[in-house]
Amino acid sequence: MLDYLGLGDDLTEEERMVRDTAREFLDEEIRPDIGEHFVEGTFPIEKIPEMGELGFYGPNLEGYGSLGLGERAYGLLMEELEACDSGMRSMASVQGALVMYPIHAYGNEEQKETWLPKLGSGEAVGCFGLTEPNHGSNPSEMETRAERDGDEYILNGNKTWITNSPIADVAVVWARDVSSEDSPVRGFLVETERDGVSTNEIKEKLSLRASITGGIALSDARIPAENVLPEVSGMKGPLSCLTQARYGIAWGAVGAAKDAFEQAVEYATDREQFGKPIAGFQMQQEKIAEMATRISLAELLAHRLAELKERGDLRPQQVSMAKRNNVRMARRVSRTAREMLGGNGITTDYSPMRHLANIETVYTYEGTHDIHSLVLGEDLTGIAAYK
Amino acid sequence: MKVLVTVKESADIADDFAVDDDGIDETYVEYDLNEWDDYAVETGVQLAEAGIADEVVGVTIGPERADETIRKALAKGVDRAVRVWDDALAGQDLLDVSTKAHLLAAVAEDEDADLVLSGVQASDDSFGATGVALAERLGYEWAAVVSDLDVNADAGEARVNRELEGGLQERLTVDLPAVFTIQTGINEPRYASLRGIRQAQSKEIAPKTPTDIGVET
Amino acid sequence: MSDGDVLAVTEHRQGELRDVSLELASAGRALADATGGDLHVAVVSGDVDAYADELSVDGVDAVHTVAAGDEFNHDVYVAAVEALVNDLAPTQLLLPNSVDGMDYAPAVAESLDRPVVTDAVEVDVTDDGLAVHREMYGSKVETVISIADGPFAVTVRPGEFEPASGTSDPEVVAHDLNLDLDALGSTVEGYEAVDTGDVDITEADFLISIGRGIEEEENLELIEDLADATGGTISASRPIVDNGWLEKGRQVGQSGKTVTPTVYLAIGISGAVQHVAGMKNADMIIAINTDPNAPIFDISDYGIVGDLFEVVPALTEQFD
Ligand SMILES: Cc1cc2nc3c(=O)[nH]c(=O)nc-3n(C[C@H](O)[C@H](O)[C@H](O)COP(=O)(O)OP(=O)(O)OC[C@H]3O[C@@H](n4cnc5c(N)ncnc54)[C@H](O)[C@@H]3O)c2cc1C
Ligand SMILES: Cc1cc2nc3c(=O)[nH]c(=O)nc-3n(C[C@H](O)[C@H](O)[C@H](O)COP(=O)(O)OP(=O)(O)OC[C@H]3O[C@@H](n4cnc5c(N)ncnc54)[C@H](O)[C@@H]3O)c2cc1C
Repeated sequence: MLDYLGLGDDLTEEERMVRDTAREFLDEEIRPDIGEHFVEGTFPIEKIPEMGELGFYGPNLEGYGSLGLGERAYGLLMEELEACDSGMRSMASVQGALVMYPIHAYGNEEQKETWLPKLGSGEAVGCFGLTEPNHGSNPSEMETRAERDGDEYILNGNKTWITNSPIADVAVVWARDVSSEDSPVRGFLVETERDGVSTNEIKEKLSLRASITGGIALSDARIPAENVLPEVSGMKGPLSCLTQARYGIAWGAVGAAKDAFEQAVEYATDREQFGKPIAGFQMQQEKIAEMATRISLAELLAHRLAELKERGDLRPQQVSMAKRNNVRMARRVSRTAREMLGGNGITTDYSPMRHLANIETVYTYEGTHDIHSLVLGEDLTGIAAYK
Repeated sequence: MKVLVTVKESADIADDFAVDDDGIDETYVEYDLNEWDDYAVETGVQLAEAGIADEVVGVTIGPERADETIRKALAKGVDRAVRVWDDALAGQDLLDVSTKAHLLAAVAEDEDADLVLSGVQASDDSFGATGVALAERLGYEWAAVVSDLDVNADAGEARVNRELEGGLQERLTVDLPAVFTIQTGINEPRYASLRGIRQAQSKEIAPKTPTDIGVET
Repeated sequence: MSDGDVLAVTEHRQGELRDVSLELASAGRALADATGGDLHVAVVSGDVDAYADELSVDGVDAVHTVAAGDEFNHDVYVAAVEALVNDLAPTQLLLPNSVDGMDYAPAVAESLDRPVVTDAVEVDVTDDGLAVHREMYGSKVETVISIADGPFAVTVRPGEFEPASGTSDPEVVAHDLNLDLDALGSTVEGYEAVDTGDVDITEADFLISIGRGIEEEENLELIEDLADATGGTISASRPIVDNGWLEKGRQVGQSGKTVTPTVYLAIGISGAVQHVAGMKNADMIIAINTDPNAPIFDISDYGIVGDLFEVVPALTEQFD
């Protein structure tokens, strides 16, 4: 894939190997069918354990079966996954950054030992329930609540747009603990097989089709009190998870864009009109130059993020900047790439339109583009403009 | 028992390569783990997983660049590796079979290997001779073009299928210690996992010169 | 024995002399002529007398027989060839680069301390010694290895040299090695033929053969469509079978089937020697390959340099 600035040359051997093994696996096991999954609206569920064995879920965590992989290598993994399809990266992001991460960061010993190895190996699938039908960009107004009843909590509420909820074994549900003072938001580990928990699938998506999305309905769902994540309270819990996942998105978007770019260049150098390859026309060259430049800049941003994250200096606002920029970049690049493919560009035979459709989700989830503008705006001016 | 797997970085050339007097320009060449050796590595690692092999050691003859290839074998489960090289070897255009057999035999003796697994051939120079020459050199038994292998360490023997022409299989029993040259299709080589890749970083690749292992080249 | 003698070791299996044996005889004759020596041919194990008759072809000066067991066993072959070389002191030792050859030739060369060059497609005698032509990088590049005078061993690619023919009356010498066959390190227990599956590709008139260029199992659909449209039968190169995408009975080549259809359409197959061994006698060979240097084009009657993912659907359309 495109590496105009030679960033690949500066990778460590380990980083290169992570990238290569992910690419090899995806090329051989996933890519051949991904267009079909997209059309059918299915995910290659049978590959979930194999991806776990390969270490694709939460490899940057330490202990409990995780690998303590460096952040750049983790980023490269996300880039490769999303170059295949945003649905693949979403699977790994949700499992690793949104489910394993909060258990790892805020769970007790028993929760970690019960869930982390299983989630890491893909034996169990997790999902992250924050968004609600009436509360998307502003989840702090969530309505889902948990009420203490002896040794148990009783949960009520609805979550929607939850990646993997229909196939999940466990959901990290964020809810207001109305039995505590000020009803703080807390995280609850809810096994989906419990009474009072149901999940429905959202079928009619036009984006991120190779990914399973659904709702979680909680009606008097009883869970043991020890299922609460003890070490966090307040919106910091879910938001810190999102920072982890957005970091992966900043890398992933580069992958999707590169894949679209590669297809466009290959097509344009091959396809002839007016007696020569379309890549030989200035207008197409301008598009190619622009795409390559945008991709390269976004990639630099991702690499810089890795450095900051590795040494513990990464601020959430910096992640917002990269998520915002890189996803917008991928949206533009995949659209330009699609356009260069002419009529062929709207079929599943080529990836750009699939990436373009997927990116609409990526643009929206994990904080919409607009919301990240507001995050940056607040950070740069000191004035919050959400309300 | 201890298993030694010989691995080689093999060169693949681009479709639009050009040849000049010095051979093929390096820009057209890409190196990767030899296709046949990938199956030999998998065979070795499966023996370890089955509790038959206590240790699987990789050996390669090659320049420092070959570390990347051998690291891949380490990531797939080989425990550690030895890489043999020196300037004299670097100065040779093509290593002849006998030199390779001498060097590998010295390592096998050093390691006291009970079983040596080799690929049938290298995809670049296609000599297809190293494993069997090595066996002769070591005084081990051997079988070439092995498509099925069942090691019985206690009985000191292995049941082997050799794949002959026309899809015919020859069944034989071979005494250990032995060298087997492994044919593609014998198993399904795994992908290197991230865990394997991480562990591989701290596995040893011991660089040795022919002199270190007592071979005059 | 005079300097320049050649010893060629033949092979047989299940009671039949293998084709490469007579090819070795002709390659050996050419070498012996160039160096002014005699051609000795050896046959080891099995019904050696019957084989000796078959090997009494033009150009053979002597046939050496070693009766020991029925079928190939590399320990027997190594011992027999070593003994013969010590006895006859030939300058040149020619062995087959067959699967059995691969199982003993390197060992013989190593124990005799002779340099070995394998898989020769041409052997010339030059002023500097011997020039052995062989192929590298999956037959994309031919190299010449020079061996200075002196004893050496060369293994010869099956199917590259004209088989020797005619009849002659060579001296037949029986050698007794007194081998203890029970003390061998490896014992051959028998043979298994591969299950051919439901289709016999050797019977097909039109074979559509697919190689690694197809990239993915799912893409085989393209080929099935072409087969449906044309009535062709699908066969494959080895990697496709190794991957489990088609059954073993569909494999063409050295370790698969030898086929002689009227038309052999090779799609995304590079033309490695082991593949070519199984199909080069097809009446007409057509190849589709993106790489203009792919060796398959060397033996093709028609070649399309192009991407199979474009060419195959276009072809299918023509027939639909
Ligand atoms: C395929 C898919 C998978 C998802 N997976 C998950 C998951 O696993 N878990 C989970 O919890 N959620 C998930 N989500 C939900 C996602 O995070 C939300 O869709 C997102 O946060 C936006 O919320 P909303 O859809 O309610 O949009 P809204 O918040 O209603 O926003 C609508 C529009 O208004 C804009 N807007 C909102 N507020 C402001 C403001 N203050 N100023 C300016 N503009 C504003 C937004 O930018 C947007 O353009 C997923 C979504 C999708 C589509
Ligand atoms: C002892 C032994 C026995 C063997 N027996 C056999 C045997 O019986 N049969 C056999 O086949 N092999 C056999 N082999 C393996 C053989 O050496 C080769 O590895 C094998 O034949 C290669 O198969 P291939 O041509 O399909 O793949 P490759 O050599 O990888 O060639 C793939 C070809 O596809 C072309 N290509 C790629 N993409 C496209 C595209 N989009 N459109 C068109 N063309 C494309 C490439 O340019 C390339 O030429 C044997 C090997 C050994 C050592």
